[in-house]
Amino acid sequence: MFKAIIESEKLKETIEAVSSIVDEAKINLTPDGISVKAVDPANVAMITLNLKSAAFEEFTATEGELGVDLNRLNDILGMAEKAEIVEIELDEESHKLVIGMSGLTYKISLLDPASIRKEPKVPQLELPARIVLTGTDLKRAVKAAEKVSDHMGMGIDGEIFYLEAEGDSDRMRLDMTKDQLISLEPGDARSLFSLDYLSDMVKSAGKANEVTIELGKDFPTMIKFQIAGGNGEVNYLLAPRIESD
Amino acid sequence: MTEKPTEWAEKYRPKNLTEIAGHRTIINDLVSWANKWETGVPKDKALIFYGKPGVGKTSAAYALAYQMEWDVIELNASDQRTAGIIQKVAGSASRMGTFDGTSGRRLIILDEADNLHGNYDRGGARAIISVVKGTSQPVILIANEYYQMDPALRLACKPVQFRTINSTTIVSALKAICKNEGIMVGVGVIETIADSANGDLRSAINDLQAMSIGKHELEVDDIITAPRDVKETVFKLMDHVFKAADMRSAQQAAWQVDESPDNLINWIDENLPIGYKDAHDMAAGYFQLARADLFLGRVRRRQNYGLWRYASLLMTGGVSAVRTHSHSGYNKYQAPQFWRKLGQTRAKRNIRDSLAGKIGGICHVSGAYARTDLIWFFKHLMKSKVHSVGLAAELKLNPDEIAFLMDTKPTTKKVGKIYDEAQQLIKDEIEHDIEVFGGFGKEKTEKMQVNSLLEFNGTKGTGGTEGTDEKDGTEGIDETDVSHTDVDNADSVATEKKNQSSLFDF
Repeated sequence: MFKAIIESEKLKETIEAVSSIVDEAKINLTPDGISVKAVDPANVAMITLNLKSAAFEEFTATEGELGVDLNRLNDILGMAEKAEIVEIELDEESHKLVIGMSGLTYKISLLDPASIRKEPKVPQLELPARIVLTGTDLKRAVKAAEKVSDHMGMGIDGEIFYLEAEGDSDRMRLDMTKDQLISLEPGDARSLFSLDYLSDMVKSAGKANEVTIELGKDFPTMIKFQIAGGNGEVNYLLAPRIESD
Repeated sequence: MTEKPTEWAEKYRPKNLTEIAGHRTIINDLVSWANKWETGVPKDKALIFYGKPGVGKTSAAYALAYQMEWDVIELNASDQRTAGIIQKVAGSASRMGTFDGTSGRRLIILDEADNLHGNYDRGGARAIISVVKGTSQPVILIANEYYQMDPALRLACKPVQFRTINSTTIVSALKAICKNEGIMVGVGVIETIADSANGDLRSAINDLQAMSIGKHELEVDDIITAPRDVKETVFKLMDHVFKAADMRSAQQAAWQVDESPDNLINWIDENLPIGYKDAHDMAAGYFQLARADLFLGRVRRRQNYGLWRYASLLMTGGVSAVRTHSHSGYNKYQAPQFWRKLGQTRAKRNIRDSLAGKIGGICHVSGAYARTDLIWFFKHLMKSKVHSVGLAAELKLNPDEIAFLMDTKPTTKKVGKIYDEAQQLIKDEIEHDIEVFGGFGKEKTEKMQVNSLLEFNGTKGTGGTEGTDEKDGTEGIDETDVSHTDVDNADSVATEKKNQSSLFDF
């Protein structure tokens, strides 16, 4: 069983974070909250998301999983105003999700969880460098890089965190010193990443006050931030791009 | 995940390369190819596995990835494979490292790569080529028909042919399964299944499973499967049609081919002169084809696809039955030129149709009638120096249409002259008309617009619908309205044509 009441803004944030990686996801329900683990069709980007029950106004759930078409859900949540309260309930008989918002009721069909790609094993990575910056700064850097190329390098040079992009003819470089960042733990790190994926990720990450980036040398990056006023956490993992000559 | 697959073919899909039945040399090559990837990017970045269904192409690809501990992504025909999706999924996967870093390898498997369907997978083949060319990760394409794949795609990849598995290998694979499933089998049972599978291991396993449902012992009497339908190529069918002993076998051969009668008739039409060297046989054969075509026409008109059976009987059995000589020897059949020719003549046919529309409009007949029964007459009129300019002006012909009527190129001087004089004539007439109708008010201009719309209809071949009373009173005016824009357009066309012709002069 599953019944929850939540501010539409928080739910939208959650769904958007997942939908930037996959279109369909399995949402795990536990009495303590909900969680999602998903990997994109190309096995390049991964998300782990936790939303604690404290993020909800009201939350009751037993162990279970829901297969959700995220685009449909996003679309429907678009009907809700920012601070509006949304009620979600699983109708176990018809196996539909009932979504209510100020008089409006939707019943949306759920997907068979078995038809959704199975959850990935999340690799345990030990990444040498760790950067904490504001979401706005990260978003700005990604936007700047998009203007010249389809991929971007991130790395550490001494005490400087740099982001650079090189297109066919143009270059972009952004240096951020320790005092421009919230915190910096330098290490040997430089990796290239696809901007297609990064720009999807910063859509959600850009709204966070603090974004933690962990980096390695030609290694995946981990991008962590909090959602729903600190009651939820998103953890993106993105595989590096192979430098072609 | 813990649920056991119910199909044995899935359940016993080999995990390791060593478990794969047959294909020893291929597997050795695969391993050395895979080892090259461990140290860098080899020259052959992509392979094409091709061969009959059920011989282990997909299994080999997966087993390779499993053995090398590579990550795998697969796109097959059940995924939508538009250019965008291939770029997004396979493209990203091919340029990106794995969660183990940039040295991690990910195998990209494009299954059923010869099955990119027209509109549905539009641009798919091109997208695959660009993925293959730009990949930093191993790619394997899997196909049944190597030569049905895009030639550019074939060039970009290294082919690996999977031959059919011989029946002794199938026998040992089936025996292993029986042992595992606890099924007792009588003498000769497995051998019979293996033989009728024609080297298709997956079918053999499916047959075995179907037979042993609810049983623990199998005897020869339990073998219930009929021989499998084997897909024939259309080239083989040509041989059946032109060389079959009786009409029934020619007809049956057509059932094995995956072509609809309206495609097939083009094949037989193209190859009949190659198959029948005797003139009388050829004539009789074409007579049967013509009768088959009648039925195809009826199918189209009445949308009664039941009539296809007569069409296909006539074009295969019929053509085969009228033969009086036996035509032996090897024939080099070719694909029908029909569609290619349609493509080549499209521009010309478009000119013809727009011309027919104009003629139909002015003669109050349909475009189709004008096309078949009037164009020849206008061709004659165009030959006359007296009428040609007036005709071109009346019909507001463009240089392409004039050239079509005169059987020449639109860039010739003759055409240019007639066109220019016709334009001059139209201009003079407009000036004249403006003087005549100069004082008319708003109501008239409205009517002009209505008329000009009708004129538009006329060019589409429904000329007969124009009201005659409107024609009488305002013919001059509607001409001014339309021809103003026409003149402008035509002028720019003409100058363009001039520019081009000067290029040709060099």
